[in-house]
Amino acid sequence: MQIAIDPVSNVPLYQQLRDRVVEGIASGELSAGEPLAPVRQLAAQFGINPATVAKGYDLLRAEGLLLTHRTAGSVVARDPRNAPWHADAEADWSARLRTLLAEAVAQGMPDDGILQHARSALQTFSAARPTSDSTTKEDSR
Amino acid sequence: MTVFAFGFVIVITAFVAAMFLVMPAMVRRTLPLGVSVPQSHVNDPVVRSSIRRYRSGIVAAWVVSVLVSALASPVSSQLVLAVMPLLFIALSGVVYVVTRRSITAAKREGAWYEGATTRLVADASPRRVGHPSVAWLVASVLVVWVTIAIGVAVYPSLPAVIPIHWGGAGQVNGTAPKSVWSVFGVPLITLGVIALFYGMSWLTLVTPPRSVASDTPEQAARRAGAQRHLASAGLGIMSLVLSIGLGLTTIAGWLAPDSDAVMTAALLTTLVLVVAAVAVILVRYYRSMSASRAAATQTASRSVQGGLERERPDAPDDDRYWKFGAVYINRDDPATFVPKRFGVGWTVNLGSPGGIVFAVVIVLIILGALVTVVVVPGLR
Repeated sequence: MQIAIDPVSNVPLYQQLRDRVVEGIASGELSAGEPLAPVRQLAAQFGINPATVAKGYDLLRAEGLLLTHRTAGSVVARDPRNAPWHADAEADWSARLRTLLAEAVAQGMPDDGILQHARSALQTFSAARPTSDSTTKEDSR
Repeated sequence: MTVFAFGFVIVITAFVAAMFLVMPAMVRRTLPLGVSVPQSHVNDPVVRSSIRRYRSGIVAAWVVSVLVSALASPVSSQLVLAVMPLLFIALSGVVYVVTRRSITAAKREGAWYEGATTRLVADASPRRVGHPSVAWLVASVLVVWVTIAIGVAVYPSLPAVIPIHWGGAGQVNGTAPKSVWSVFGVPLITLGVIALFYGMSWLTLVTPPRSVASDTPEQAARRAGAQRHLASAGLGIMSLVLSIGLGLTTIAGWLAPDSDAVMTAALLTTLVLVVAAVAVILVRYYRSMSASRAAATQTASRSVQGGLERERPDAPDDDRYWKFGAVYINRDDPATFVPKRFGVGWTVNLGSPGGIVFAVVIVLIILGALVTVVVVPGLR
């Protein structure tokens, strides 16, 4: 999977790397069991410090999305087919979502507009994924 | 034979000059004269005029070098052989540094990167590293073995003192007592050169490719393919050609040490083979590179007509890592080898430990060669 990061953005590079991988998993470009490039290899392709890539991988590991074996390297650990995540992880996400929603509301976006954005983003993920089962989960909720 | 030496350097430097002249057409359009520019400015008048001035400068540098060596040739043919290529390279370097400066200045004053979307891109999937083609390695080693076999056959009939060095026109100007080293030295060194070339092509295959945000996936694949081919087949062809050339001159030295004609013929054959091989490799590289550039122009015009395809993001301005547009120093970058800024092949990252070690080893090898060729014979 090709990853593009913005070198002049305010978002740190490791955060962007983590974000792109999460999006790749959501859209099915990366699925559980798929290997990721070793830290140095990825850093050498970008021409950036390996510590930056390692930090991005650390974030993914902390979220349970990545597993690093001593021999097999880093492998994607979860994808949309997995069981729902831990309660506290979900609570953390929910808090961040609240902030994100508040940003839009504070800027004067109507609720319908916000929901439309959310729906179209979810559709881009499920449309790209060969087996879309997150939509059914979404409906049952 | 000053005329011979003079003609030799004129041909060699003309060949190098020709390579310098086509170089702007071989590198990425977003790297005119090794200056990184956004796609919106690849056809800027300053870029075009700077490339024109660079090309005229290269021609002028060649003419000046030829004139200087014409004046020096009555003094010493050795001087011409040594100084003219160096003079030409130095003048070309000055032309490059001076002409690219106007692009850098225009970029800074016009804030070319303002508003440009820049991205660094990479493939998150692990890369499988192949190994360079073994066919060239086997063929080269075979040629050396044939040379050594002939040497073993003629060894008893060689005189006690044998020629080991020839002047520009094939006349003997150095001898040594017969020994395994003085007879088989060159074939053994050739084996070392073959190993070095194979190691180099292996290293360049291990080096991860650098994708650029402005490349479409097909362009990136084409470019990576051209570079892989250059690393594997290009270096393979060079090692075979060198083995044949060095083998021919060595055999000529054994069988007809006193014949100027045979030695000259062997040297010329070697020269022609090397030049032909370099030309073939460069033409193939140029073809795949220009194909990728044509694909880029097509994509660009399609996006203008259709208005659907968004312009691709730019690669970030990384001029600060390239001293004089030629020497790469980036402490953050873990890569030991990176693609050259303005040229064909790879260069080392002098900001990485591996790159520093590699550069030191190369400098030591060059110094060692200079000491053995220049200083040691002078002491005798």
